[in-house]
Amino acid sequence: MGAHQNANFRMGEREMILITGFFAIIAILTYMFPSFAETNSDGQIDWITMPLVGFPIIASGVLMAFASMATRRRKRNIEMPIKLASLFFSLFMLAITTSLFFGILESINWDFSTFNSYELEFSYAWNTTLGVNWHVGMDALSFSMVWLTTLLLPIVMITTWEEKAGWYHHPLILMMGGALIGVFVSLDLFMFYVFWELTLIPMFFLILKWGGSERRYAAQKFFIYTFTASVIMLLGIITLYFLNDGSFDITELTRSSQAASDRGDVWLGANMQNALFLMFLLGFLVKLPAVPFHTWLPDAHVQAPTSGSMLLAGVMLKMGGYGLFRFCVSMFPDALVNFQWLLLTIGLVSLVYGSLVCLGQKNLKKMVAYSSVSHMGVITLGIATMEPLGFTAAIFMMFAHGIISPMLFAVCGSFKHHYHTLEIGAMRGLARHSPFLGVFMMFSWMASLGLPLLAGFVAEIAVLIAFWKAFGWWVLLPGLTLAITAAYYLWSMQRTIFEGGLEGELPESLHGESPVDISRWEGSGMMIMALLIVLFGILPWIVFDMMSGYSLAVFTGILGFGGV
Amino acid sequence: MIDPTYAIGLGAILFTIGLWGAFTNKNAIIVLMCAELILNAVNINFIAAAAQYGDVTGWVYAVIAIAIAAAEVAIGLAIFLSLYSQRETINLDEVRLLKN
Amino acid sequence: MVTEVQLFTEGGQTWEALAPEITLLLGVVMMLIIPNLGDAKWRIPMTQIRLPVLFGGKRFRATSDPQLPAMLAVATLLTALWQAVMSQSGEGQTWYLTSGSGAEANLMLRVDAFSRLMESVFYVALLLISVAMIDRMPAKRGKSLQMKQMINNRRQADFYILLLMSAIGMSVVTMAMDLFMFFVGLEIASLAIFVLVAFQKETPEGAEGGAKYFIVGAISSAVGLYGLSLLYIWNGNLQLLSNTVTGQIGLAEAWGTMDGVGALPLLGLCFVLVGFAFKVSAVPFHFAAPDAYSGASAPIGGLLATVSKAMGFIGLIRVLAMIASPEAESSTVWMMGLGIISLVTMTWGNVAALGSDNPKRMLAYSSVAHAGYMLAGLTAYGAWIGEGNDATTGAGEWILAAILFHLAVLVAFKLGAFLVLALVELDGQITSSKDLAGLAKRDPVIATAMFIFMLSLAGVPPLAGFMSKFLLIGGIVKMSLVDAASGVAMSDLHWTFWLALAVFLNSAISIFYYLRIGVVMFFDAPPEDRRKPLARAWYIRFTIWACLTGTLLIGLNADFLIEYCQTAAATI
Repeated sequence: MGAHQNANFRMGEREMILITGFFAIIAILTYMFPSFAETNSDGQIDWITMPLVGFPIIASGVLMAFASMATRRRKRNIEMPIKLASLFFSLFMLAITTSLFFGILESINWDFSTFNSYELEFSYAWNTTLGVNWHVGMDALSFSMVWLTTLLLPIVMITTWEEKAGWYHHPLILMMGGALIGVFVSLDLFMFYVFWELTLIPMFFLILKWGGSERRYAAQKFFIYTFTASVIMLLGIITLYFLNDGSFDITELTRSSQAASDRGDVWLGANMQNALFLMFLLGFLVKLPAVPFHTWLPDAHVQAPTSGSMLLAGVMLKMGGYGLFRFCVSMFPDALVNFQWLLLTIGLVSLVYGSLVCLGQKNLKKMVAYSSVSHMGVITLGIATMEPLGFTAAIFMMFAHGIISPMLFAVCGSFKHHYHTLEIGAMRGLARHSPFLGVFMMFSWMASLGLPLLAGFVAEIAVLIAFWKAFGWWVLLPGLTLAITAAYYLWSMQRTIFEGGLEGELPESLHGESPVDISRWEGSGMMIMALLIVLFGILPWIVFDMMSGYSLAVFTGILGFGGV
Repeated sequence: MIDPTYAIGLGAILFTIGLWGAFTNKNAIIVLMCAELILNAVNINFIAAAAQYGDVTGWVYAVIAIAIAAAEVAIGLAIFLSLYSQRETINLDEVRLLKN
Repeated sequence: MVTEVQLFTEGGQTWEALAPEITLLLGVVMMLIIPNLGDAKWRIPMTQIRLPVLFGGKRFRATSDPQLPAMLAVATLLTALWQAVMSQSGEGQTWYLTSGSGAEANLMLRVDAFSRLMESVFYVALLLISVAMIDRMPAKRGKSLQMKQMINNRRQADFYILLLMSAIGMSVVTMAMDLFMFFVGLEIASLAIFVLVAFQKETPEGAEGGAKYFIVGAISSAVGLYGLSLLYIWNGNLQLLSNTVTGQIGLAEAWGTMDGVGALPLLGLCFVLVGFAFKVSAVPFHFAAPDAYSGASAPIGGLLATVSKAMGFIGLIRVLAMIASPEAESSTVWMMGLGIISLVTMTWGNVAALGSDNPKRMLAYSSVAHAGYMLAGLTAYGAWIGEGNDATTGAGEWILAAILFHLAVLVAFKLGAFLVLALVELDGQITSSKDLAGLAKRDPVIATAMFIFMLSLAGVPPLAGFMSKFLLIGGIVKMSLVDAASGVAMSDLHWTFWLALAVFLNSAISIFYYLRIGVVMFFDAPPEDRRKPLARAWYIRFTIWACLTGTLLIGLNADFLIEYCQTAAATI
């Protein structure tokens, strides 16, 4: 009788929470967003606010609330519907961005950019006393990042389909996606900061719930590192806000910066602009991450689950690169020129240091993490060249690395999943025991190294050309680093995958079990990524043109020098 | 009429004794008495200054301060009593259950 | 609309101005009478006639209901809240309440937007506490105590009477225009709070926390009163504002016009500040705070962390912003001292919180750190006044509004965190973070709420705590951009800019221990004796949800509250 009453009580509570939560959401929505079907002055429909940002965050919240109220037995029953719903939402988002890209939903030509003008620009009053607006819009830079995010979401979900506690896992990925897109589409500094911090929370939980044995340390380190850096960025945001008579509007700020540089002035004065540049730079470099602020990344990656690593490396690191372009380049051009040496140094150090440390790693995931550091160094270098091609290459690197590194981490994740180890020397002859995993591993490594005809190659070669144009023969330093690491890297991979004769050598951690190959889900996820890598390697102009248009627009718009 | 300076000096002495006693004594009742000494110093100051300025407000302040002191003593003794019934001591150094 | 009224003379005006306080007083009287109504009869001597006196004897069923005092308190506070809010709706009313008239008038109370805002904040906090206490009061506390005795509503009546008394004291604090009046209000509230802290007298912790808090509180308020008496010797009255009719010179004007800084007023003011610094638990007067928070029951801990602290800050605002505002550069040292105190306070609070495993103590230390943040705001305000005409327009009002906003939203998330602890505490005292372990498994909704409160305390957007920190830092930064019209160099910035940086770095430190609570709740196995689902305790749950809604909604859109705070700050 007692148990029965207890059950009844819990049901009542659940219903009450559901109803309260439902009404709260409705109230917030109606309060914050005047109308979804409104069109802006260009006659475009707001495809961003609700479908790409609001929807995934709210939907995932509802799904998780729903899951948290189910009993353990019922959770198994609702796992599949929840995962399918998340996948459906992410595919829906992908459909929207892809149709936007091909000009189906709105006739937008992304290849022609004008500096500081945005498509699908919408602005709703959020907080009138502070002058905060819900201001969204996309240009070629943010659109490429948004498209990358929406591409990755379903892939991540498919690859990690069999992750335990999927009723929380998949909605968290969806929420992560919404928050990330929020970062990329914000045209209001306040809103930008809100989403910037919001991305931490799902990632924190992803690492903590599904991570490795040291996950607590890694998750807290990750959170604290990036939080510290971003509060300093927030100080910069607030200072910028008051220096401009209380405006958070990125378009407005960029416009006044542009006007100042047209007049030949230094916006806000040289000293202040440098200080603000450095405050923003710190936030972005930690996120990117660049040496010497990179130490959180290996820990976070090694301990994070596959999905966490994929999103972290695939999109979250790009928030740093995106911020560099959106603020450090577009708003503080004079400070950028002043600190070109700093970016150059940091880029080179990250590239060289990342590659060298990568070589010494015994842990597969750590190795990939350090290769990420060196690739992010390439992005910084691309910006430091101050060439349109360098910018384009940096953005393309962000895009390409956004597809390649998730594949690397997917492979590492499957390896860990099936062989219970991440040690490089512990295994020989992977190709014999798990042929599919071996193939994908080899392929992803080649892509990461920049094999011609794969996406990474385009980015690297473009950066090197821009570097050569800017600094001449110094190009040998990054060029040779890339080449030498590639060689060593391939050799070490080859040992794992092919050596060891016909029988190979199984790791001890397997405890004599027979090895298994990747599952269908993992395989399909990796397959899609591999196809995309080949696609963007052979036909890079699909996105390269729009990035190139953006870079040229930045140069003609604000930097005002360089030229093609 | 006595020079108010003397009264204020007396107040200062009382205040010093009270404060010093409150910091050096560990018996809760003595500390409470020291707080009362400070309040008496307050009253002397108020009355002296009121006499000096010929302002009745100071006297009113003093009366209210006495009432506050009385309430404080009542509450303090009640709290110490309940402490004593729990621990059989009111020595503040021996009462240290609460820590990190 | 400004009305000047002599207290308790001109018919309805006093009653209208002091409606919430009078309601509270009536509530106290009702609380004294109603639970004691019974069938007592009085026999007229020499006869057999028994007259029912209704007071005492065997109590009626309705009047001995254990929830009656709580209901009375809630009704009283709701009425008072409604009156306080309504009197400021539309065009705000301002009353000047004086004692005496004509040449003998002393301005005692001023009822304006500021006092109404703070009153509403206090009433909301006390309302939440009294609702939560409905579940807490009949709690089982050891087997020796009989349930019957606990349910006895006399003890509950005591509790709610004290709560309402503290509300009256707080109202006086918000309105006082005479420093002595201010202290009287502070004492009324403090004396009630001393008892509330020691209310769990059956537990050794309760008695100990209460005794420690009482001793430090009694001495600091005595020192504060001594400071008042010195100020009285110096100035001859304790009025804040000068009176043009009587020619009395208020403390503010006297301070502003004196040559240099006299020893007597400075000493007096420092002693007064000691009294307030204890209330806000600023370093070096913070020692009793953690003991009091962990000894008292959780809702009372919340009361100390929100309402009691807000009282202290009203005092600091009155004294620092109205009286001791520095004139020109001469008082930079004074402001520098305050800046250093704020720096030490926030850093000490955060470092101590890092090393504390008891959630209640951790919240106590975090509230010390928050006091440091607000002191940084006050420093910037003082510096703003000191800068005189060069200063950024509107920065001072902005900072004051930010402090008021912070005090208001603390009620949402700080009190909310304490209420979650109150709910968990129904299974036994919380002594370490282990007692929160596995809360997510026992009750996911409550655990999520707690996590959101923690994030809000740390200042993660888009929660209320972020908004308040944002406004505070915004004010400091705005102030430090003294000469923003032309291009500014970093070296031109006022030194308070680095205080803003310190606040940010401190909140980055603080994220350590806030996250730790989250990790423990979500990813630790619950201890042996805490495996069952949490008690149903609907009243506490309701208050937690109210706090959660407040935290989220204010974080998402703080428009109305910011506007209200700005109006209030303009009237200080």
